[in-house]
Amino acid sequence: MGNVCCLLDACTVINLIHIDEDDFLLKKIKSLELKKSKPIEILIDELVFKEIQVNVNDRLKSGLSKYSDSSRIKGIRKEIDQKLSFFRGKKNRSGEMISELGNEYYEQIKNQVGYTKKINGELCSTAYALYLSRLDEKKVFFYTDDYPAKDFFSGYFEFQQIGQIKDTVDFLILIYWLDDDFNKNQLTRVLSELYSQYAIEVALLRERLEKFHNEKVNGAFIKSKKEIAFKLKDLINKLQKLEFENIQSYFEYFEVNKTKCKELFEIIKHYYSVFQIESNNQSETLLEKIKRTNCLIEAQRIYKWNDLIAS
Amino acid sequence: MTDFKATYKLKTNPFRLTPATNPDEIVWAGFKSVKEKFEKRIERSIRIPNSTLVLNWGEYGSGKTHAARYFNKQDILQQLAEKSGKSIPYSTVIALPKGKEPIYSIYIAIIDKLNIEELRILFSDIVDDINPFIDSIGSNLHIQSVLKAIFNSDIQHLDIKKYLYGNMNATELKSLNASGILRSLKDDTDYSSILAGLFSCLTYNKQKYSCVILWIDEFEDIAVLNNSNIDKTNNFIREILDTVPNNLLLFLNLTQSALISVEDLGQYVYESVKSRIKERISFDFPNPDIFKEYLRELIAIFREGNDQNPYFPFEESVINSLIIELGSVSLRRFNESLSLLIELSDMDNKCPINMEVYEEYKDDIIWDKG
Repeated sequence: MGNVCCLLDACTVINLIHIDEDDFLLKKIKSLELKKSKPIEILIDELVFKEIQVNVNDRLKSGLSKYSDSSRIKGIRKEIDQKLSFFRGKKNRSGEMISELGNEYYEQIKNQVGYTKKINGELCSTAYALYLSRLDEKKVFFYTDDYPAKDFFSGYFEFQQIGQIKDTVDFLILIYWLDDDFNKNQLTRVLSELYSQYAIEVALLRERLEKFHNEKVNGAFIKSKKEIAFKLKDLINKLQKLEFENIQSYFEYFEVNKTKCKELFEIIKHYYSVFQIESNNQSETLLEKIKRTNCLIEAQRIYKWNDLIAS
Repeated sequence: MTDFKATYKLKTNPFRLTPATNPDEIVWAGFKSVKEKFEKRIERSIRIPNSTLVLNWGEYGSGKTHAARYFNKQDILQQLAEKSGKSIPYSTVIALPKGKEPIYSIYIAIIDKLNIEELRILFSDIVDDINPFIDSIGSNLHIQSVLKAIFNSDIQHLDIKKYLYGNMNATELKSLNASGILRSLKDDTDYSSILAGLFSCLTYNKQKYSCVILWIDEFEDIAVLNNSNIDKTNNFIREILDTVPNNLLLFLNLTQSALISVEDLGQYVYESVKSRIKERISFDFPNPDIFKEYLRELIAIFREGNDQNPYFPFEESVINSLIIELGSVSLRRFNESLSLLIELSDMDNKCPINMEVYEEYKDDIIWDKG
């Protein structure tokens, strides 16, 4: 096992695939894995990989995303498939875990953490992280950009001393300081691309919701679905102001009420990543973190081994 | 429901939120000073040769997109052109692309709206002057050949359109070899050069078109692009203004938002572009008098028949109360509330819309009190 065990969530892998140009990041990760000193090991839970396969092309869907040219989408889809095969090889050990501990292991962890949602990638990764930490007697870093999940499972990681839950920004910085040839400009570029991935989704969701509001919310709509109309206005307002506090509650509201307005939930469901940006009062959102990190790396050097020797 | 026109003395709901598809329904009411600023700016570009960059600045729903649609109307542009005794501007509105390739997307958006067949008919009497003019534009022979092909009726207009879209295969491309087109368009420099050359040709001697007006709406979305695309977008604007020194009027509609505030504008709009901004047109929240003037004029445009009350079907007290209740908000917020109020009243056969009706629907039309 590598010095740093990096367990990746679906959103982090999808982000890495979409922000990577010319396989720059994949080559970096691969070379670190092959290094004699084994600085990192990348792992992905099996269910998480299935989630990646299902969702990795969502951002390409014609007419719903920033990609509008169908011939270009084909090319991008091919590139994504190639990148996906790189990560396919990382889902290598959760099978062993199940054969050792049995299928009920997930239920056991679900009950212990008090998780009320159905078993999903984040829960399986938490269970897998616990197993890996005990098996290899190592700290495990679980990288996810699903901030509500991060908030929920962080306490468990801490109490069980599994390791820590981090996000894609942290993962990129880890790769940066581990790789001597990864320079600051390249780090700024990938962080900017990561910011853009989320900011574009926010802008597209806002646009779609505004369009829906302008076309559909009329007197008749207000008479029959006033609460939905006002919730929709609230959500648009939050997206305009980039306020993500409790934004998951809007997703849940529209999910619960999807029979009353299916069309609206279809839009919202498509931009689920936006609802993962949620912040509570105390914490910053992923977008804020990227902006802060960009300022920090300008003001403060992130030391690599060679920098330490040189100084 | 009652007969809307007869009861409310309005042709239709004037506050509808969906953009009108029929240009006749895109009207301008109130906000005289803003309208005059646009008229002056466009008239100026119609008359004089200099290229200009104008920044339209305001909050969500303050009317920037509406201004673009209104001043993109052929009859409005024709009126402005006639005032100056010049030809009509060539005008187009595009939204800033949020994709991976913003310059390519801008280029495609403009080519999409280019009717080559009509253009060739319009320019048929001066096509012999256009070719020597194209030779004087820059030194790129390939770009010059493409520009000439656009105006050359010997080449099928669909073939050249196909070429401009980049959809020609190697065999098809051979058919254009005789016209000096030996390769496909491939990068942002090609796309910018084609657009710059095209704009210059369209406004040659202000003969057929007095100027090109390009509105880039939703320019605030530059804040969601990655650094590389922010660079490309800024460079495109700078280049297009530099390489089309004459007859280009570029409007950037920019919404002040959480992503892009006055303080961090410089992060997204570089000094090289900011220094080229000749004027900023601000879309402020309307004060009560400005809003009421807008309302009177809007209702008058949609009026069916006559009524002594300029606000009919609304009583003035309703308008005053709504203004107090909403506070300082965008024009869109006022329109949203009045649109719902008129629709709800119509559904329940209530007219005129007095304070009693207003109170009944108040909670349905005001979503978040300003």
